Amino acid sequence: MEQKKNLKNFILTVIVFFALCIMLVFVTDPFFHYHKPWLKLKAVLTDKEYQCIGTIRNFDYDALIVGSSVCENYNNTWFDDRFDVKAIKAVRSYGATADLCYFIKEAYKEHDLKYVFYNIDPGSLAATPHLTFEETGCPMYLYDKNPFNDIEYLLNKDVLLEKVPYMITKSYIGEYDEGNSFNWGQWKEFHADMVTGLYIRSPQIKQMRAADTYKNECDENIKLIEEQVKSHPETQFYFFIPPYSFVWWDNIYRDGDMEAYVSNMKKCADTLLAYDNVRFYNFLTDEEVVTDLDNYMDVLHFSPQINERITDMLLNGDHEVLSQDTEKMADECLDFGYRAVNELIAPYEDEIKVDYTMSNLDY
Amino acid sequence: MLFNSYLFIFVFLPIALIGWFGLNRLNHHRAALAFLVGMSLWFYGYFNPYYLLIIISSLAVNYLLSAVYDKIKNRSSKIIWLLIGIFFNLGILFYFKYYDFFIENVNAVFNAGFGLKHILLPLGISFFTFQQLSFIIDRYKGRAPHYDLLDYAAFVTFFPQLVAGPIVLYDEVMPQFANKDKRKPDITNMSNGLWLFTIGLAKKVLLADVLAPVVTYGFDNCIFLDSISTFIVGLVYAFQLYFDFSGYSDMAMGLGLMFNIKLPQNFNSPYKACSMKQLWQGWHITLSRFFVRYVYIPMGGSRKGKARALFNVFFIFMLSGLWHGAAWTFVVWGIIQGLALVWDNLYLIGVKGQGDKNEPKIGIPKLLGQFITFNFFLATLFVFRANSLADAVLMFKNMFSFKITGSISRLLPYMDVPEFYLIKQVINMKAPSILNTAYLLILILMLAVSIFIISRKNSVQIMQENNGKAKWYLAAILLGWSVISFSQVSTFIYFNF
Repeated sequence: MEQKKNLKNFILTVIVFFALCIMLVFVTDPFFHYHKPWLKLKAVLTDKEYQCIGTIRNFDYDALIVGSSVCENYNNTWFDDRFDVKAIKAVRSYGATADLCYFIKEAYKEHDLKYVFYNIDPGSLAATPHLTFEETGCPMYLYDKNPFNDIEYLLNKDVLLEKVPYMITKSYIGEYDEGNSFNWGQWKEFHADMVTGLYIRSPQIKQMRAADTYKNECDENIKLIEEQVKSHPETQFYFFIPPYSFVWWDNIYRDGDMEAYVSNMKKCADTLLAYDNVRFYNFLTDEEVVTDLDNYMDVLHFSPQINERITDMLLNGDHEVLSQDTEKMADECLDFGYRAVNELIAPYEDEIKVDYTMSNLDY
Repeated sequence: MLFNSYLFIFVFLPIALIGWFGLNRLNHHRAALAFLVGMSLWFYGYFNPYYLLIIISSLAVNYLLSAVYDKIKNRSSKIIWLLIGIFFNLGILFYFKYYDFFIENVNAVFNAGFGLKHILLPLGISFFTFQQLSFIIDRYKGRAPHYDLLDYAAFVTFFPQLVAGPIVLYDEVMPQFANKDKRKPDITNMSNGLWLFTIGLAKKVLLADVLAPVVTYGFDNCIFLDSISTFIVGLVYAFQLYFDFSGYSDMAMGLGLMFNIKLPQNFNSPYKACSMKQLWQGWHITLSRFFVRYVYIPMGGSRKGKARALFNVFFIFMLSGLWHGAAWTFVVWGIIQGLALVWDNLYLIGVKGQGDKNEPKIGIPKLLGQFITFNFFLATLFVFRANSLADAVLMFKNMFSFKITGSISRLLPYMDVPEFYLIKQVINMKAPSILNTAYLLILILMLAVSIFIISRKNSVQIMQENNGKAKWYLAAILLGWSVISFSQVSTFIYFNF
């Protein structure tokens, strides 16, 4: 009899414990898997792999800022103020096209979008055109629609003891800026020494690959983006290539990718600019930014000030590429790329490390 | 499937229990057995469906071998079939577990270039192979009857013991499956089983898994460790290994009890032992039992004189070392264990009054015996866990260099746990310089809890006692705490395109 009572108490205690945990996670919902913030909690966004999909599905907005880690330092309010919208971010490391298009598709399910601001990383056009969430270890229980595997979220010690308290303290103590979602720039230093210190140069220069080397991947990726543009003529799409530092040109030149990447960008611009609801920008040749390495923390990542500058330029039309100018854009890119390789990098060559182990690679 | 997973606890186990007792209640015992075998195969195949081919082939061949014994009468034919059985089982084990190790050594000795297969080791292969080997040998000796296929399949695949033991013998389990009284739920077994499962789960998830990052860092970066860090890594590993394996064994026993099947105890307070001999009587008991019954005794045991007995002891521990893994570290570890057991069996120095038929010539205090035994075993674990023999030697050198280089500061952050998150945030805001001291306190706390647990009664002893409500409320909290520890939030590397 006593055993029965003990067992009953045991099971009841466990059920109450689980119920409390589930209730706490469901109400606070730090990954916004079920709803937008309740109880005056703020949208504290720091883990994009866990939170981006939830915010896209459950928040109120009419504009998306889409792209890779170089997009994370935009303050959403810059877009809100300039374009009179409510913007949120749909960001993915590596800027994988299929992943970003999946986010856009998810957004359209419940939202009417006035604008999509889409940062196109040149490398992403040559990358796989397939979804990468699962292979990169994203928590698929937040992405799929299976309610049973939500248990991994609802009964999760890290969520209960770290994410929930973090969200509560950031919401009620101090002044958390919700516009700075996924922002990392506030914790970093931007200086030329950082760029030259982090860039590891290949000692050899590979033979320049043909312009159509990545034709299949590029065509597939552009098709994914084009599908979104075509399906939503009511949305104004702003596509822009971010201002990587000129050192990036040295990197892709040595890898033999320069001409193929430029060709991909031109093809992308040509395809998308065929649509009336598209504007296309290229900031790779914004020399005021890309030649000043103090704007960067590494070869690619620029400071939040540059993000704000881009927002202004999107509004003002600076560095916009028109459909008849794509050839010119490609020529300018190549000219600048070769200038970067032949002239601009020269003063830094003594500071840049060279990885001689790479010289054994088969080119 | 892992015991420490949501799927197992919330889906698999309830279905298995309801199906087993439900079908038995409807008097469909054969269907219940078939259901249990099916569930066990799901449990096993969940890791990798390809593994099912291996276990089913192994089971089928051993069953056929068992059937053959009923058809043949003359001894020489029986010996041939026994040898076929032994070669088959050890052959499977050799191929999947030792092939690459063997080829690596052949290549090294003969400067040859045979290709490695990089075969993925099927889980639990060492356990179900030994389990069936014992059955085949006993069939040859006429000790075991030939069973019905379904009964035999239930014995081999019974999921609580399938992937990490204990190594169960047919005569322990088969009669229990056949016992009609065990086919309906028993409240005492169910509650004791649930309690024991919970304690095992907590040992694994809340202790072993929390200690694991320190161990992994330490052994992977042993070149950077100083004396104190090396000792800490060794000590933490001794506890991690014990809580991991004994936790698993507790879970297996607990699960068995829920089905009214009593599985043998695999651990019995080994760290309280005052000699290596005693330690091995309480550590992975069913493996030692297998080696004694099927290797030591057939080799002559202690019947052929003292020297032969000592050699036999040494030999089975060397085999035991190799059983633990295909690497020279395990072989050397086994040899060290064997030498230690030979030393203990010489009865020169030791703790008197421990129930052995021989008493040591020179007696030492029990506490000293326990201290020496634990530290000796800990030292051997450096060899057991090191990534290579060179690393093991390096760790010994580190430990006895008596140098303090501050490497502990790189080790301690691996004690970061979500339970510490809020305190960590406060420290980061108010006094970030004391963060490592806080990690040190967590480590000390974990070690204190570990020492407290190993120095008290073991989980099986506590299970058998009636400690009132506190025991159950504590277990409920531990179960809840363990379950919420299954899933983690990973940190992603952001800055690579």
